[in-house]
Amino acid sequence: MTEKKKVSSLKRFFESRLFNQLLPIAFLILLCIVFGILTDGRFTSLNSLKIILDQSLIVGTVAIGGAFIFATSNTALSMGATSLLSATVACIVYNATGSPVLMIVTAFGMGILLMVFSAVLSTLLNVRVLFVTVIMMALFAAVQQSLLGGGTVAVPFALVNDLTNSGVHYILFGAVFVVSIILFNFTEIGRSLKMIGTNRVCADMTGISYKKFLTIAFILGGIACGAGAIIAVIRAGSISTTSLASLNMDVMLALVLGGMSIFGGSKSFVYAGVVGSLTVVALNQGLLMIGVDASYIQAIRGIIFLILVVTSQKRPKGLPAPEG
Amino acid sequence: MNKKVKNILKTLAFPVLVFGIMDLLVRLKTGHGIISSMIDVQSIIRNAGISTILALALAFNLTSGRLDLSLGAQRLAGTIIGGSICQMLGLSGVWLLVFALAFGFLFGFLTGLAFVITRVPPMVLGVGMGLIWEVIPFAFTGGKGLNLYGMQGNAILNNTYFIIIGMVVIAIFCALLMNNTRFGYELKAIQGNQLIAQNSGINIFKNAVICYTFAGGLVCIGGMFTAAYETQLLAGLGLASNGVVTSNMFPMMLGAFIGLWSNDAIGTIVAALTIQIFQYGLTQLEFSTPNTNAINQGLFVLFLVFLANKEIFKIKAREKARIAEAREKKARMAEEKAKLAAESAN
Repeated sequence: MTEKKKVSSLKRFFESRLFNQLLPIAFLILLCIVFGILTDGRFTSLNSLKIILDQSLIVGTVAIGGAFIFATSNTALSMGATSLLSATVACIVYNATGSPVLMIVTAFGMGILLMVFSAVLSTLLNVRVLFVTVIMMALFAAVQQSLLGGGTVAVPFALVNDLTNSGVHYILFGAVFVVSIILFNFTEIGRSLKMIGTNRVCADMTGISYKKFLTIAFILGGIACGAGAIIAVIRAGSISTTSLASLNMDVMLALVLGGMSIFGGSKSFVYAGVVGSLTVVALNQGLLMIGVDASYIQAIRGIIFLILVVTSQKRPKGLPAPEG
Repeated sequence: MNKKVKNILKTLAFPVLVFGIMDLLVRLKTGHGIISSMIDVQSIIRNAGISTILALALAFNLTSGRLDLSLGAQRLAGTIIGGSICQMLGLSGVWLLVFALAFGFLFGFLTGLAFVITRVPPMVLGVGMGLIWEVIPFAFTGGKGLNLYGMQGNAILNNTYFIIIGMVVIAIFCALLMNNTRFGYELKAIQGNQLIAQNSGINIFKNAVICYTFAGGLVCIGGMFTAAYETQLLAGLGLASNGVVTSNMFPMMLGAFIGLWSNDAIGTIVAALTIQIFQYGLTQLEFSTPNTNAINQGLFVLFLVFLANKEIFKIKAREKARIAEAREKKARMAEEKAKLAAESAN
């Protein structure tokens, strides 16, 4: 009897919210320790850790916004394309006006506008979010290619240097992170989004408007895309048609690796994207440092991704819900 | 008019109308029509054929609400590995298709198996499996992919008649599979309600694995036709492979709509042909590829908006009629009540 109780409490712990939150962090720490040992401390040097942080900034920032949409049990596949188009227009605006403030405002404005456009299609025009994000992924990429015509848009090195030295990318990331933590954990917005993800019918019956809060989630996602776009410009100094190519999928990968519930709801947490993006970059960096062939790293990432998803989620009795 | 004839006319109206409009626009701009040589016909048919095959592959899972994001990676893996082994064995031509199909089935089957074992949502599973599948052809060929340049005996894969026959055979196979087999019957039940289907004794897990297997096989046939035409198929990483497959969602969805007057397979062929004619027309009108893609995706959005709202006016009209009827009844009841009151007062 006691043995049975022990097993059931262990099972409850593995299915708990706490385990979901702890597993990815524990995995990240374990990764750092293992790679630190295997590389004789080179991996855990200050310089190496700074590189990991810098490389995970874009995915981490955009994924923070993605968490709001994921929480509603929807998937946003077009956030990479939104960031790319926002960054492109922001660069064009800077080159036309020479104003960094206008560039930043444009990036945020475009991010919000594009995500609101996606939200309107789902909320007002009743198109499924899944289809909207898949189409927007292709549409925004095509519009960006049309704008650039196969070329590149660059901002002056002096501007990139100034923004980098003043730590604008860290400030943007920090601001998005802190505001999102507050909104997600301490306001009606976060509670409502999680409630919608847990049970949409129940949320509706308690007066939580799905359409209103989905739009809010998309707006917050748009703000994160805008911030991600600025960080991308600061890091690269230019945007081409191949920039941020894998960001759409990386955001999803980071969120799930970071422990975000794939079904949204109460097991969602906003810093999952940050933990996930740090894990992806740390894994890449560590495997490269110990001499694993670059082409195999992606497969290892895929295997670890699936193992983490399977171990951290409760296996449904039937097949997963038909919404993808 | 006979219903069958009406349905045929409605089905054919899509490509004919689009051809008429695009031909007129091209004539106004360039002075000649969309079709100026056999090369134009071949190009439209080849692209429509490949698009049909990919759309039919997508339909196996998407109609059940499963978007498999690893389908593009399966296409790369099956086509490149199947083609490379074929080359090693000194085989060419139709054998390339056979090997691609076999490896496509294998990768599709493994993905389906992973789905029913892990029961992770298809999109999330697709990302994980896609990451793994992309690496296999990359590592197998040292990053080179499949190169068919200068390989003898592959002309048949570029033959327009062969592509048409291939497309029709696949469409007939899909139509028979969906409409005349136990598998198709069970799939429709699952599409309706998974839980009820499972409770009524349908093995939903087996059905899902079969769907994934067929989808994997079909995308690899499409992949081999593309490789034969372009003489190569590059191995890529970073999950960029899924773009080719998701771009065929439009013909799939339009095909399901046109299929209301025939069946899904015929609908998909007609939809793919219609979209190819439209795109070819835009190219003739000197639209760049990104602009053509943007217009195409814009149209897809409009089509989905139409699909999601086509019943809204009917529903609103019904609601209006119901309210009017209720008001009328209320007025009548009030009138009768007043009459009764007057009678009792008298």
